[in-house]
Amino acid sequence: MIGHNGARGWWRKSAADVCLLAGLLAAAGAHARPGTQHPGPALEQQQVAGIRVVTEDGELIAENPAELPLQPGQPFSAQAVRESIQKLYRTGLYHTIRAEAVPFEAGLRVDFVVAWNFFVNRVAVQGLQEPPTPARALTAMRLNLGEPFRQSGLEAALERLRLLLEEEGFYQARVDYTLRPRAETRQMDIVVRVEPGERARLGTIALENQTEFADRWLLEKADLQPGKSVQAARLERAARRIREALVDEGHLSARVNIRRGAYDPERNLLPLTLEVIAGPRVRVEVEGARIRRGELRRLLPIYQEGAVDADLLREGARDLRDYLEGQGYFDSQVDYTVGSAEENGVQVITYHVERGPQRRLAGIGFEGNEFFSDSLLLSILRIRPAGFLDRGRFSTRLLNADREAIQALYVANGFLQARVAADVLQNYGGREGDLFVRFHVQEGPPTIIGDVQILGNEAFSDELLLDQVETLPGQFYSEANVQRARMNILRLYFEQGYSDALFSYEVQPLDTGDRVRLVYRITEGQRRVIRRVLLDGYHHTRRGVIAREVLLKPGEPLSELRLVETQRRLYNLGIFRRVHIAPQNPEGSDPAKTVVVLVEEAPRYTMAYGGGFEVQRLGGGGEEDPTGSDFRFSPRILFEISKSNFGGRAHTLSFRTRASTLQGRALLSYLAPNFLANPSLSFVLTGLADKSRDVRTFSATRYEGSMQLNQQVSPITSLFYRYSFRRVLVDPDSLRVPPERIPLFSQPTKISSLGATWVRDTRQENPADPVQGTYNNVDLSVAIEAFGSSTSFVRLFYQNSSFHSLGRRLVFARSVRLGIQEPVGDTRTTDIPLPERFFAGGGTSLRGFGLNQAGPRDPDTGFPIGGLALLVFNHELRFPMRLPWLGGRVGGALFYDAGNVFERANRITLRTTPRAPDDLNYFSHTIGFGFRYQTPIGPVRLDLAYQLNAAEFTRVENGTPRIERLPRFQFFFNIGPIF
Amino acid sequence: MRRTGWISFCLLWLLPLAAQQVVDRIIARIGDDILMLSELEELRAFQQLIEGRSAARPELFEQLVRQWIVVTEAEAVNFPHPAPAQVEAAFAQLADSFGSREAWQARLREAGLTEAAVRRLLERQLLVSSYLDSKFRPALTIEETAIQRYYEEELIPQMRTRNQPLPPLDRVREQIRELLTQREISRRATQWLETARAQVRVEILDESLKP
Repeated sequence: MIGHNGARGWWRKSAADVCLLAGLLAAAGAHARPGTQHPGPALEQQQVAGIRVVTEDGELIAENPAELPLQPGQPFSAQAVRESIQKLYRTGLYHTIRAEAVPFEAGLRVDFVVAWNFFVNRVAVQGLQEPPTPARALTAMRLNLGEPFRQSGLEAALERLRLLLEEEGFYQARVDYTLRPRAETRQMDIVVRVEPGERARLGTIALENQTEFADRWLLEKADLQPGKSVQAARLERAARRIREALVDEGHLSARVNIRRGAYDPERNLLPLTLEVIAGPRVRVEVEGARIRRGELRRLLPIYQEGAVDADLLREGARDLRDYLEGQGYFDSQVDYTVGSAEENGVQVITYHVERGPQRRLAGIGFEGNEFFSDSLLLSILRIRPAGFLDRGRFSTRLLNADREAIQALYVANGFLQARVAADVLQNYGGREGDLFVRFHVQEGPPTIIGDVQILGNEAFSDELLLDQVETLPGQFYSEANVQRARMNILRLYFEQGYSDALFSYEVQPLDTGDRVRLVYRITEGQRRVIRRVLLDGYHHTRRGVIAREVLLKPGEPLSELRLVETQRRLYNLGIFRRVHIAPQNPEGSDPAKTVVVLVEEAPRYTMAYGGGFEVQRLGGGGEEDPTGSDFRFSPRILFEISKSNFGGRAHTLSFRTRASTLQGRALLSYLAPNFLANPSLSFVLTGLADKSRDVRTFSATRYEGSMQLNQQVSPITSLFYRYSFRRVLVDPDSLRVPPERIPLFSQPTKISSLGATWVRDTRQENPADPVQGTYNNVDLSVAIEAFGSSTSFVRLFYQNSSFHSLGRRLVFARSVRLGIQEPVGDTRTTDIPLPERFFAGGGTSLRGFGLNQAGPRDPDTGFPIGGLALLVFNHELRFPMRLPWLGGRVGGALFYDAGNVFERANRITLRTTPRAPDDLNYFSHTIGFGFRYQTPIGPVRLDLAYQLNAAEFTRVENGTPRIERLPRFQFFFNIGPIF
Repeated sequence: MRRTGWISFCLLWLLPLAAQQVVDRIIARIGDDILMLSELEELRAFQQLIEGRSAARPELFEQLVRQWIVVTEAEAVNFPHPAPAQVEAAFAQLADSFGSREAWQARLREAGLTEAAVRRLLERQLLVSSYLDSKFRPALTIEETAIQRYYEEELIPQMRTRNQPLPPLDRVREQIRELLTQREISRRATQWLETARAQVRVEILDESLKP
């Protein structure tokens, strides 16, 4: 046995013979070095009179530290000295440590002489020629903020950078660095300078061609030629293009390997070898069902992955089965066979389909469930009842999975004896092919928590921890509640600096059978606190702007949650390209951490420009037709320049302009978030010049200046306070109402108003397409001559929208909008300028009317003139659909809109017909149908509307009164929600 | 060599102890850990104790690194440390091998080691050897042909050289099997250590330890 035999001689023999111990202890015949510093027995007999931790300069750091194994008053021990050095090193604070013994009083004083560690701070790479980008170079180097700086670590990082440069063709790159230590904060800034040299070029390209295609064809696909520069992305692209080309030819298992040859430094060339293996051609056939080729390519993963293996073939069989089930073939079975490629080199994969009869899942029912509602149980099912143009989804496999899911839900919520069975009723309701599924639930008695015990906690009392949990004695036992308890308890520990805290639990049955004891075990770990916070990396930004967002304070626990929140707040300022926050010495045992907040400011100036095409659907069918529709097309250009971090305060000054034949606009704005150092306040100053044609009655030029203070009262409630000044000029050539009728319309108008808006928004999920919640908006503004306005009026607008999920992916959305304007003082109703009135009609308000076509009209020209009151109701029932080719991507909506624009508030009426031909104050009713296609920015809508009671009106043409009728049918194409 | 070291050692302690004396320091960083000068000196002294001589400092340092690799892996998998009784037995065997207690104490003093240090070193060596044994032995199978070959090609010539009678194969089969097992463990362990050594990052702070 190793090391266990008798005499000294055996030790020698064993060492020579077999033992690794010999390898570790092998004599090499060298003398021991004289003057060794090993303490020896003599020192071991002396008493330790004192212990200090000092720097090389003699600065005292600690005296007689209690946590070290070596203590004063004890005999000197070399082992205790060693362990003390190890303990000091593990704090992570010291780079080197040595122990010195000095005669002192009646014994020895032991000094631990230390050199402070430095920690990685800013790392910059200069001189790069992209690719690679500086960000990629930094990632490759892996010098992380806050980690101890080691020369060996830096050299390893530089080696990784060199490898990255070679990957990008810089084989002759020279890399150098400068270290900038900061003694007072123990940070090490590292500047790496790269002289990339010239990027290598491709030399000879050899081809190992194992395909039936010509070399030239492959090289064309690769788009690689000798002389092109070497870049990793180019080589990857080449391999991908060849592979895609081979896959398109049916070689689904094609492989491409690019090998780099030996670099030629004299000519700066890199030879390549392309190894291309085609594999057999693959043809997929389906027996027993007709499926379009395009659908097959979408369904089968062998096409998407570009490979053929057993896993992908099985997955393809499952995908085909799921597809057929979605078509109503609930009993479909799919299998596959793989033919040999020996004949004519084509491998045929055949999917064998047995569809069975086509059926429909008419409905799903539950009985026996009391704890969970039908709607909740429905929401976890994978089987789906039929809907509009949809046969639903069903199979025996899915039914079993759903039955088990319901049972698992009950068990997880304390009903450990719950049982669920399912019946399938055939030809339900007398209709052949219709199925009905009924789930029978036997809930059984719930399991009750008899006792909760918490072990391992020292930092927090049992009472405090029990306050965090929902699992209390007497309540139902629930796995979900235990997980919530775990989350809440760990969050409490993490917030208090116990980032290593661990939580485990045990459920112990109690004697009574249906009661259990919950035992929570906590391992707290070490508590970390913040020693100090260092802010770095900013040049233009004021320090106070950054400090205000930092939630980490000296003396407080080091909380990961606050660290992440600080990072989020700094990013939200919009002025930093990167924000790194990390503690120095993260692995050290020293519990007090210095936290570094390192920011990288974004470029302050940004410029954007672009062009496009604008389509506008205007309310009139022509210059003289007041009721029809007219489309205008126009090219559009836009330009924007902005300076962020203005004055170092995270404010933004921007200038935007866009121009087309339909609209021209220039906007100058100044945005000041965190106004007056208050995170809930932001301030906006804007100046606007706009010329547009929104209504077929006039063209207006608007000059506007405004100041607005935004207040975020709560996550769902906002207030806006504003003052705005508007000067409106109406182009007299575009006017379609007689000037003598409404005198002010042709004159310049000044509006100076004060206003306020209250918004409360509880919409859930996507605000552009919510399924639950409400949206409320109240806007009040007052224009008064004393403020410099040419007219005085009060304007009130109120909107209330709500969204209701009805299960089965149905959503009912409704909205009401009420607007009232009243002249004040000497102002007459006709004095209120046209552009300031209410208008309605179009795809985002009353869909029974064309754009802005609702409400009163000029009796002579018949063009809409808006009104001083608005009442609009919208209702929509949104539902999923399943259409050929489109599948479930397109949804539908049935809608009903009602309301109108009224001459004045006291003319609001529910009459469905006007009182007189020239009185268009009536309550319109519109029904319609729409298609909805979901996009990340909201739904794309196509709405078809029919106004049930489109009114007639009179207009005078060449002195002759003429009856016109508003069109009943409208269609709209919009992006975004209606409300 | 032994006398030179002893005289130097004595001279060192005859000097007045007015100036500070470095009693220990970090000689290398290995991963997140450190190697101490005292560990290196202890290993040297232990070799001195056993063999009467020790390896050169760079080689000694490499042995220390390899020991560290093995011990670190053993602790990472919670491999049990040798029992105190096992360590005591090894200690007693080593002490007895010097003939008398006085000779044993004299050698300890000469090497500059305490009994506590020797026990610590023995425990470490036992941990290393038993961990390597457990790591590689289970996967080993010694073929009968290998036993036969050893008997014919190595044992018989050795016995003949010493003019000793040849034991029959059946009597020494298990001893040969164990010997070959030990050899193979040693070989595999060496291979494994070479790979592990290449992967571990060592930063040497003492120039005299660099090869």
